[in-house]
Amino acid sequence: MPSNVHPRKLLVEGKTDKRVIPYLIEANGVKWERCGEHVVHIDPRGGFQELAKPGVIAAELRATGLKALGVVLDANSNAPRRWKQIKTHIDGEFERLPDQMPRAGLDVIHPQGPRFGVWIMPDHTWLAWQDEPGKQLHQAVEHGIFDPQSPRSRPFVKWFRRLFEL
Amino acid sequence: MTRGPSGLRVTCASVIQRVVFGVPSGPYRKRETKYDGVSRFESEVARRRSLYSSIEIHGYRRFESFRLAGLGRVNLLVGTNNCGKTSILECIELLRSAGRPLVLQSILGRRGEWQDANDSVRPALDVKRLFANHDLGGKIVVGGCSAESLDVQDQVVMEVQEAASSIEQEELPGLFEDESSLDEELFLNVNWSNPAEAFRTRITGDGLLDSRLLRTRNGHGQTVVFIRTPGMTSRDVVRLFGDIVLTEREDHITRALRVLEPAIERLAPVPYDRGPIVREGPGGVFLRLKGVADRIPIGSVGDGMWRMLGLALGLANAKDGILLVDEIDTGLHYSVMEDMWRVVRERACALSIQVFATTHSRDCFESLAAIAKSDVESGDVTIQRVDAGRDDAVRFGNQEIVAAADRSLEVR
Repeated sequence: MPSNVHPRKLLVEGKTDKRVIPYLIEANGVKWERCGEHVVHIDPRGGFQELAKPGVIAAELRATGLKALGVVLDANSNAPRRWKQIKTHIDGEFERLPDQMPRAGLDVIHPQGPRFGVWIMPDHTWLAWQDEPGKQLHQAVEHGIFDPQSPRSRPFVKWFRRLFEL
Repeated sequence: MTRGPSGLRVTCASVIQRVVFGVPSGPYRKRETKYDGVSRFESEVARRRSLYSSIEIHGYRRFESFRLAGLGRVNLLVGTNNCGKTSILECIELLRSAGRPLVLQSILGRRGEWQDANDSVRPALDVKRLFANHDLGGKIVVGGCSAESLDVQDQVVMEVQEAASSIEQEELPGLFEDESSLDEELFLNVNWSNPAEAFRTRITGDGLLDSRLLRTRNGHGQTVVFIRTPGMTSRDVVRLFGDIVLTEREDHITRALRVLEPAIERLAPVPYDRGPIVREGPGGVFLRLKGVADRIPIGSVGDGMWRMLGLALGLANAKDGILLVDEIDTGLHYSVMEDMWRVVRERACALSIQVFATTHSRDCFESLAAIAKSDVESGDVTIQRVDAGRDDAVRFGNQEIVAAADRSLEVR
């Protein structure tokens, strides 16, 4: 497979998410590396503004060989507002998106074929909002506050496994 | 992808449906034919000048059913080998060649899908190759919708009927002298939108068509120029160049070639019978370079020049029509591709041409992205990826092309 073809891809805001999510997923029983490849390619985008640039998610959804695309956003103390913002950005891509973010995370099929999901990290699960995008989850781990098998991380892990069929 | 196309799809499908179940038939007149071998057809109907916004294909080669939507002025088809990119170009050529059955010879001839009949001067075209699964019982339907009307603008239906059906016998010459396969003889029907453009001819039970029979028709098809992967033949180039030499259009040709070699002062075709006959590849054109006393054969300055000349000539001759280019990047260094696209887009806009090109090259896509970026809002550039197993193309508009190139996403 060419190096830039990723059947399962997760867009995150910051680089720290890229380190923490594999840790979290592996701790919940999913082998992260198979045949020398990560089961999901995590692509840190440097913040919400980069993710929400025109055409970015639309282009990702059309990438060659894509089977499932996930987007993990920080709630930034207002999850409904975050959902509204990302929904505005991707509305044209789907026949219908819910007005409110589903509690179990968004998981839909894009008309071009791939599965598409959105997860908004609630502030109360991780740490309070920080200036550096993606920092809260990382800090939670660093400070030992975050238990990867805690019941509070289960909905995210469940969403992740469903979306990427792991 | 917007919510709009679903409505469009219904409209297109319903009209195609009408064509499938109510195939127009009608008498046709014999006309004198003068075919030029480059699939160049003059435009007759000004109303058809608008661009195709979508194209539907049924039963053609590997496509049971396929759809391209949201088309722009310049459309780049990508996808793996044998995914059907060239087939799509052929379908568009067929669609636009209304009343010009000789298009079948162009399509099958380019792929070498013919065989000698009883003697070597009469190639028999292997028509069954055009049908999905080589099944002569199938039906080929190609429809094109315009952005303006949302209606099927053009369509072509091809199917085979048994001779035993109630078709009046034509005044066609015998297909093959021995007529040994007479029992299995079939008729090939090609029906374009206008019933007057319908074409019918005998084929053998094996789906072979005597190419001479195609020369009896001369319809009103619209302008369509097809440039093959190896480029035009030198004969075509000399003829097309001859058509525009000393006109304003010639200046655009010279300008396009200066993208590759700024020292070009002028170029000129040399009549075919004065030089060695070169059927394939560069030939028949000489360049004058600044500060160089002798004229220089175009073949001496590389394949890129030949591709660029073919593109420029194709554009100059496709006014109000369609330009189809197989592997548009052939022979071009990545550093000139952006300029190549700039020439293509500028001439396509100026002359109301819709362009469909194929590529395998990443440079080709990224250079197109640079063009798309210069005018993101216009939406006039698309990439359409043909994936095996999908019945519609994956479409990238200007914004997605730019975003994909910025993020080094794989789109091919």
